[in-house]
Amino acid sequence: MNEFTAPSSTEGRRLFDLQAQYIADLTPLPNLAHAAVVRSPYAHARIRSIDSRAALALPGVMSVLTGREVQEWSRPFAVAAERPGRYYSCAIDKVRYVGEPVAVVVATNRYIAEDARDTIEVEYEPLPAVVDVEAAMQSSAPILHEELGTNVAIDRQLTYGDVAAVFSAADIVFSQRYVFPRYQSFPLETYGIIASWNPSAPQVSFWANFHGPYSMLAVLAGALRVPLSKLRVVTPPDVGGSFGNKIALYPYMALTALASRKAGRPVKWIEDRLESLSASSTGTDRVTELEVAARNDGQLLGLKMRLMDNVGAYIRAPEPGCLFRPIGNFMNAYKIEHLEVNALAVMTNVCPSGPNRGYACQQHYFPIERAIDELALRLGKDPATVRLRNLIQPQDIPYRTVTGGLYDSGDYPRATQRALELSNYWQLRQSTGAAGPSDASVWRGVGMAVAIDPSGSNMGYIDVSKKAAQRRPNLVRVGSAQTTRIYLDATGGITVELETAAHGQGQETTAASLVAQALGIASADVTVVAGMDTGSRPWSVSSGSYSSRFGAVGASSIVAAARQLQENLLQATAYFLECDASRLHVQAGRIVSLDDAQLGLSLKDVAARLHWSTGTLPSHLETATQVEGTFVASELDYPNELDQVNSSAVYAFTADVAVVEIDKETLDIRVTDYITVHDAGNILHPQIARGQFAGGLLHGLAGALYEELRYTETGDFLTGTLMDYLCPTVNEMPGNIVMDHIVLPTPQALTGAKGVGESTAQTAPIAIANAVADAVRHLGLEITELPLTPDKLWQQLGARLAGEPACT
Amino acid sequence: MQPQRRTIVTTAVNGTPVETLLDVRTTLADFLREEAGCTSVHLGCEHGVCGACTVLLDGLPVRSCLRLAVQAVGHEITTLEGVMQTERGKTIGRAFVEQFAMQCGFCTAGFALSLYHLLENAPEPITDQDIHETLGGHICRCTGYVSIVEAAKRLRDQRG
Amino acid sequence: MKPAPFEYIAPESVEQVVEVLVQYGDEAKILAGGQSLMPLLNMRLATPGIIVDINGLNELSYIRQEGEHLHIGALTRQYRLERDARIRQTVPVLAAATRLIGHPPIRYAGTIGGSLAHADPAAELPAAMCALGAELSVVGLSGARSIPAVDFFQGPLSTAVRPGELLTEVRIPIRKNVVWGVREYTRRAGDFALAGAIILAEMEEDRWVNGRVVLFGVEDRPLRVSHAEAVLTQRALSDDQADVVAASAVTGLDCHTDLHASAGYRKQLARVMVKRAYLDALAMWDGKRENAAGSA
Repeated sequence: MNEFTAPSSTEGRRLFDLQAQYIADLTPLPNLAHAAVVRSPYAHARIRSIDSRAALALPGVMSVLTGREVQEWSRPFAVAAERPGRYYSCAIDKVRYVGEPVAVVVATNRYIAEDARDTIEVEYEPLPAVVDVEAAMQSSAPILHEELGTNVAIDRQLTYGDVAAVFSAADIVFSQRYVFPRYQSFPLETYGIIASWNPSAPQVSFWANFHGPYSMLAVLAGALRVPLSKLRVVTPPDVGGSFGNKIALYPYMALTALASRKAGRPVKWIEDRLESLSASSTGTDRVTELEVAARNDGQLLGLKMRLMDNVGAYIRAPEPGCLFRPIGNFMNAYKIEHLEVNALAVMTNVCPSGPNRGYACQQHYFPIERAIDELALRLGKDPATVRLRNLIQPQDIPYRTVTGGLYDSGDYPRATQRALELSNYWQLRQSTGAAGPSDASVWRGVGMAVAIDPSGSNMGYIDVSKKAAQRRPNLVRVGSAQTTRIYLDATGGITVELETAAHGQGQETTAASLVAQALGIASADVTVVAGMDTGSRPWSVSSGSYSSRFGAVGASSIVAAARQLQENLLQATAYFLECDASRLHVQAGRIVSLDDAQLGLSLKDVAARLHWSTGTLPSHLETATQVEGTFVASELDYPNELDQVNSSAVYAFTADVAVVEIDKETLDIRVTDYITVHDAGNILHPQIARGQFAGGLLHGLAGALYEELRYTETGDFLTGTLMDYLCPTVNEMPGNIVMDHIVLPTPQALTGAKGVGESTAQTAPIAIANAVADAVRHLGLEITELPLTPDKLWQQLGARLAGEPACT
Repeated sequence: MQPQRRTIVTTAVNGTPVETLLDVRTTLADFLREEAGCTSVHLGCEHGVCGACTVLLDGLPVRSCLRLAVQAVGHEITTLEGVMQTERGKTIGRAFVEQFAMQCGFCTAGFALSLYHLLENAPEPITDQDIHETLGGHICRCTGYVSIVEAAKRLRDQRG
Repeated sequence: MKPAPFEYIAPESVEQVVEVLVQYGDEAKILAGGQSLMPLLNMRLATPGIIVDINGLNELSYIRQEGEHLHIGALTRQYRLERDARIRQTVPVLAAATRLIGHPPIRYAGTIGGSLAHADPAAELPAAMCALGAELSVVGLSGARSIPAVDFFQGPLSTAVRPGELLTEVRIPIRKNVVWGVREYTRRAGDFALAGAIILAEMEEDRWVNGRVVLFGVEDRPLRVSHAEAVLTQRALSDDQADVVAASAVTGLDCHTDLHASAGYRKQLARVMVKRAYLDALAMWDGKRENAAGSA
């Protein structure tokens, strides 16, 4: 399966046909009421009292839900952590971050709900707060969850290989502390939920722009004390982006459901942007202490990493995914066999964290890839040379990493060389940093990064959060599966039902073309049902469009279903024409004989006969018009006693080069060129893949230079609007973007495809940081944290620039 | 001249007269979505930064979240619903669909309306800088803008 | 994120506006282009009792030249300042400064008066008014009065407009043979300036006179820096002079620190913006002299 003439965007046509349906557009039930959430202005405080009388007296106000009912009606959300706090959808007796829900007002419309919200008087007793991850680990730190006696939710020690031996044998050992910031690739559409609590069942229905994994629904059902089968979730066909953010929708689904229960009618809540910035979800910020052991020839020997994740006020599933999701690819694309990891998840008085595009890999690779540049510098070698020396070679693949990952396919040196070529890397190197012309108005820098891009998470990785002895053998969480259904109607029409609940990835377009290819028909003849309804479509806890899993897992289930339908058509035709099915094939919408091109039936004929002659069909054809394709990723296992696990279904690869220019006077940082080369296996749709690479670049660029969720030391939130939280516009994108790919199909997926969605989001922050480091190294600047802002460069350079004329 | 809390708003949305009794604080964006059936108007930030709610007011692109519905009295409002009735609107739609100049689609109507205005009104030639200035007033979180710029340039080149 | 309840009134004349403002006092808030007020209303950071919508006052939307002055009505939309031929001819720096405001949809809605009355210290138009020596007219119960721009801006979001008064017009003296430069630094195109500078002077033989150096985004209001203006006009004109003017402009500057720029960095930006604005003006001067030489 290779590139083909790609159909245009189905999703886009719906939009311009004015048929799009986003959550805010829906009124699926009569008598919808509207919610507004009362939120904490404090980072840490005890709730003394809540007075809702004035709110309830306002015309149009139906109810006010507070922590009292939330505690009575629900349970804390489950999470895989040794010492989790008790996390409810609403503060019970204490608030632990600015923006935490304290009460929910339900009224006839949002305007009135907000009027009522503003009359609710909450009396707080402020408590000392802590927002810094290292400070929160100190014994003197304010404790968020008193019952735990500590803010450390997880403290795991993982050891692979013989770390002590390689560190003592190394020519060079150095350590560095790196800080990866807190930011979120916020989707433009905020959270939106319609919840209807049916008291007699109990049963709860949701319409929500929820983003899988659907394992979160099990967490939600548990918290609401409702059987999973009584919890229905409908996702509209159009979801305005997620990038991981909308996985953390589920606590608000619980809150809206309880608000509906209290109000006695269906409730709609559309989050506003201020709520989104302060209290939806954010990427995890991390401090890493990294120690590197290497030989003088540039050979990496081993790493020691202390990962300190700031998971916010409550550790919330799918955290601690940020610590463990990349476990199989902890060593990136390098042949390193000795690693020691101390993985810590720490709770502080900021918004709870969660997945963000490139989840965990951004945080994990940033220190490693910065340190490789540092190593190269110390050894007087080029960073590209050091990388090429340490990359896993194509002949080593399939390659089992020391942490358990199975790198299924790839040629990392080739992709890396391609990026170096396309960027003219070696020549650029001659004129960057101190080598640039002294009369230039900018310092130039070039930097690179490579990344293994894990796609299709193995649920099993999360149990590495527990010591082997503490894992529950009776509940072995493992695997990654997806199901797709296809129907053939009586006129030959094909309908494909997706269960991946997309949010902008063009899956309808891709699904139609995959099925059309399998049946030799036009994409336009395939109808794809998008969105999701857990009440009527098959799903598993691993369903969804997360961890870049559509190309390898989701699309493979489409191919599996299409192949099954194809097989059914062959069998049916063989039956109708009384010939041998193995001598038939599908060609251009017809099922024809390989021996006699005249002998055959059109898809339409076969469909008609299958539907209209059910009374005469043999049993093996009775359900031939309805197929279900399930794809279960292979080679996914449960963590072993050595904490090794193949944490993802397939592993893609990215090699990037960034070129930056820094204005010598304003310290403005511009990425002038960005070159990204991918090995995502087979490309299912070239334009969609390109769109994912470019979108990943945007988010990586944002994390490198612009976006950061900032708090004061005492937990006041500083970036509450889009005037302060700086989302890049077209004008901040690199002027020259080159996207290229090589194709090494994975044997692990029926599509041969690996992930495309997260790739550049992982590499761009690093490549840009490395380029900036290259540009300013000669000035003595160290780059160990993101985002890189002109003001931060000034903090290091300022004294030298102030007052004295700089070059122009 | 009396202060009002509620008032009848009479305006023209996409050429159709609309008359509704509204709370005066209702934003134009909410009015268009809830009363005039224009769900292409998307609320991305409600403070004028993201551009998703952009509509044409007497032909000029403005943020509908930064305007009260009562201010629309006596003016003509055009949303994507209206623009798609025009040839130029259809051309824009085709370019976006074929270039994949959208992913989640939430920002798209705003981009399309600003581009519509540019293509309708800008004197020849439309420069790359004009395109960047026009698109710069809108935030897209999905595409990295690459495909949107390509669609815009294609539309510019086709303009005639 | 919806506005709190308010009453709404749309007066039909300046007199009616004044009447309402007097009647409601602090409770009243004037709605012009809405580009600053509406976000505050949506966020409920402003909760006025009554919104006084002046958008119906077409008589306040004009650009006209009277003798040596350009008169601009307060309700004139910003995009017209950018494009108006008279402005581009007589006070081109105003067109250039306006073009730096936000994005096109903001300028289609925003008004000159709205920006001036809002008095954001980082805004371009207040700085331009100070550089151009504009007079701002306000009308109240006791009639009209005129306030020089430099006295009009009194702090962040604070002006010399008294309760019961409405800003109606700006009057800009038209100067001949002007060279100018306007520069600002923003993190993203269209953001409020972290620091900005406007340089303006009249050409006279081989020197500049009546120089203006105005900074914005650095202190609590636009700042005319008279000691830098003296340097601008007293010293010889050259590229090297740019640094001298810039250094002078930031001497004694007391910048504020915010999320995006520390005081020290902001001061550096101010210096660089002055320098670049000066170099722009110098290039303009060179160009004009060449033209003059060419036509002579």
